[in-house]
Amino acid sequence: MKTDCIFSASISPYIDDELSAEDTERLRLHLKTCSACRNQLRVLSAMEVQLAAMPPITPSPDFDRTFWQKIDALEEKRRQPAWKQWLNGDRLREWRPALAAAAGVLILCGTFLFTQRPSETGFSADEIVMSQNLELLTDYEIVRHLDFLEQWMDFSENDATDA
Amino acid sequence: MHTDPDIQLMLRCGEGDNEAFRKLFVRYRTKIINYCFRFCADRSIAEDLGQEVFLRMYRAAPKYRPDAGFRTWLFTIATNVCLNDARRKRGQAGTLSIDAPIFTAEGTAMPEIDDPTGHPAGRLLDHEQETIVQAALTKLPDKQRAALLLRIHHEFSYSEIAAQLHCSEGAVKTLIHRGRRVLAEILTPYFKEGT
Repeated sequence: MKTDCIFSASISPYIDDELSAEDTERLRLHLKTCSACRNQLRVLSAMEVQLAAMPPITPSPDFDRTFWQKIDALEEKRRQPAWKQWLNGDRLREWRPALAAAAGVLILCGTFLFTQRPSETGFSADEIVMSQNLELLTDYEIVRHLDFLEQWMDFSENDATDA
Repeated sequence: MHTDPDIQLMLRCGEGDNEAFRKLFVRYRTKIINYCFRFCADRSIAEDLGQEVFLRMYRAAPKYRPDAGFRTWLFTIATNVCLNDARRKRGQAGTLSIDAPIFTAEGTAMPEIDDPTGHPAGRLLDHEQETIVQAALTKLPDKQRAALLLRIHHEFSYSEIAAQLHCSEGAVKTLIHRGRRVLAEILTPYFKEGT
């Protein structure tokens, strides 16, 4: 089937009537002298007949009914409000990963902003905690010198023992 | 004003005229199903693909612009649907071989290729012949198959096929030429003596 003849590639468009008048004439002249191209034209033309002769099929009886059911479903979907169409549609499925990522980012940002938010009074969270425990803080001086207090108590106990 | 009656019907579809759509559907459904059938070699899949083609046509109706002939536009949709389906299924199902069972217009059949000259004068029975040609078609790469079918069964010009396959006319010429040569190599034994 393969031929090295440079006219070989023109045979298919010749069959399809896609060659210019000039090229058609040139190929016809060539075919008179080239048996390989003549053979190729004969084989391809015969195959063309076989392909064109394949009998058509007819649609099954269910084809129309199934199709119009799909059209009805489509119309039903179109009658829904836009937001519902969007929620039920393929678009949402396409956007789902992006929406999940955006929701994650929003939650992180929200958490960060909430924990970093200054109070309405202008005090920090630590300052508020301190103000709520002021009674404890009045003993702060004693607590700060706890070591000295312990040493003092030990010293007192030793004195009492010696006495 | 477009003189092509199909374009006029399609424009009416875009305005919500369902009767116009129904006319186009009835006019083209057999052609589209046959194109899909010759492409995928399976009647049931061909009908599914055909329905997808007309659903896309219905959805596209409001945005339809008659830039090309209606037939070219519709077969572009069909070609896209067939090529997408073939791409999706590649790897899932093996390709058909000429010695495997195959679907035809008359049902499932087993091509008898062991001894094609066993028939009188090497002539194949019509049904077997169709089976073998269909099996050979499925051996072609998708675009070659689409180009050949569009040319031979639906008589589109090379420029129309180029528009449908989104390639140049030169590429179409090559696709069809190569497709024919591959088919001829497979089918030549069956054409010898008597066809």
